[in-house]
Amino acid sequence: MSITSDLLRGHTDTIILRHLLRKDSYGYEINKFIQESSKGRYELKEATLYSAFRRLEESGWISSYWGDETTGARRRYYTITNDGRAAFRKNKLDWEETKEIIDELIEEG
Amino acid sequence: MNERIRTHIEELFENAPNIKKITELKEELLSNSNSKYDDLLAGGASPDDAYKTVISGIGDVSGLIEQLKSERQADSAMIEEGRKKSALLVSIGVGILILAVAAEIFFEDIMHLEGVGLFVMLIMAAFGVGFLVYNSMTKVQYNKKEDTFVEEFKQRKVETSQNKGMRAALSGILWPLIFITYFLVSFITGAWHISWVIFIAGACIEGVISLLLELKKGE
Repeated sequence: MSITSDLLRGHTDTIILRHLLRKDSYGYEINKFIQESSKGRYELKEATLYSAFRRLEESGWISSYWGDETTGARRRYYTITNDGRAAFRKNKLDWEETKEIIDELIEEG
Repeated sequence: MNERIRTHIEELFENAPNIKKITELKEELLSNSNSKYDDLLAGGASPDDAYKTVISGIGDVSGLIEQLKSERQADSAMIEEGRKKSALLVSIGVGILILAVAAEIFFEDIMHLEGVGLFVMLIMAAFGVGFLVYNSMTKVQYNKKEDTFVEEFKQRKVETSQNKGMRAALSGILWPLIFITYFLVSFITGAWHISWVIFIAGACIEGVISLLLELKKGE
């Protein structure tokens, strides 16, 4: 599992962008989406998630705004930018190419 | 809101500086942790298990806090840069003003070119004043980015230094005027032996204006 996590971690940004493509979202919802989509096999630490948010915001791929929750702490929502959409498409193509290469390299038989 | 979770998160941020980006991170972490906690309870987990799951899911935030702190330091480095640029501009401006007088003396008294000295001096004074005005107009404005006491204190300091900037601009305008008056009076009356008192008078005027500004600010 730890090796899988290492491989997955390199794609955290793309995974987050993927979720934001569908709708604006906040930290817990994104993490829950990751957990459910991976059938419980993968979940980010909060710290990793927020580091990714800051990094993506710095790159201009996402932006954030505060929700107007009346009870409890405010939620911070993230939304994907046009640059973010472009970055997602590029990352996805890169991954597909990588996957193909690795498949060929480690194929037995 | 679960108090145990809040306490735990407060402890994580205990030693973090009270700046906007970090308090926002804390708020974000609080709201997400609570959503997760409520969700786990709704899914049938016991409060104890839910608490443990939430806490272990947070991970190590110290690296993130450090990163946000260092971004802020980069910010103040930029302000420092602006300060240096400002000092350079003032030095050049004042230097040109002083050289303007030297040029005047050189052309009038050594080369004996009537009128040329005054002309050169006025042009140089215009450049000198230009530098000073450019400096006060492009000075980095310290924006109140963080809502803490330290920031408010800094803001106040900036306001005071802007006051100083105003005084520097005042000197920049006053002194060329004093020079012009000196030469006009001297040329017209020919009373070179005594006309230098105009400089002393000028210094007095500057002092009085500074004092008036100070008094006005004190009101």
